[in-house]
Amino acid sequence: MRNENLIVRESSAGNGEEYQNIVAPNAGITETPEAYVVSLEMPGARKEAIALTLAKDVLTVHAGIGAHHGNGDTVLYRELRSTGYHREFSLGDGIDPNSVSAVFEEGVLTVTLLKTPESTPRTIPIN
Amino acid sequence: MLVQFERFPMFSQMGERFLDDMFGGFQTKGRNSAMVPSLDISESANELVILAELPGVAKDEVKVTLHDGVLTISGEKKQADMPEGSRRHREERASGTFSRSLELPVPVNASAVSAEMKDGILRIVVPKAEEARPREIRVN
Repeated sequence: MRNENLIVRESSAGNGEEYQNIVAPNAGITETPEAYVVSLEMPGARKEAIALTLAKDVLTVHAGIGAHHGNGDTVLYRELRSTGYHREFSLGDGIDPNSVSAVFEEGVLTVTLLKTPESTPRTIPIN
Repeated sequence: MLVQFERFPMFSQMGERFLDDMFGGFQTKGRNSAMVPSLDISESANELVILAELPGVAKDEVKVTLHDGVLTISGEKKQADMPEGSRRHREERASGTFSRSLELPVPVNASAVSAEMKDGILRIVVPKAEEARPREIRVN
């Protein structure tokens, strides 16, 4: 059994009051022979307000959510309390940091991290 | 299927995933394994706006119905396909069928309801019936 290359840090966004409603998005992590695919549910985030950064071995996603209701509207019932999303992932060896790509669709951010050639399984032909 | 609803602002929550969790305990994973969309309801002078969080749900997998003053949002969120040779390390995203109903607090114009999906949020605009709108009474 090999080690997981992608470790989710259960980091909090911060301790300050302003981060009160910043939540960790629900994630799905899938490994294919060539890549790790991380899917993050971030409903209400706007594509232009998503910051995805890779520094050293840590992939960080941070996003703000715009106001849901118009000025002057009366909110009768509220469950959508998040004001933003934040989550960090520690990357193990075997991921090519220059290969990271992401798309945002239907409120889901899908990040693809390609494995380095050395960690991609290869079938060796037998002559 | 028995669908129950309670009076506004209480909502019924029915997801088949709940049964999965009960009877297939070993499959339970993630924090929010039951698929229950979160809702917001707001009101302006002339309309009600209902928002539902449905990340990863395709537009044509959602159904909105209005019957006898009860609005129901239902549908199915499919689990993402697994490419061959891949394996799942973590799954916190809920999937399965969902249904949530709410009794609207005022009479509405059912024929003018509109709905759109954007960035994983379903937004339903329900115009109030004429008699539920504020009216200015002229003082003679």
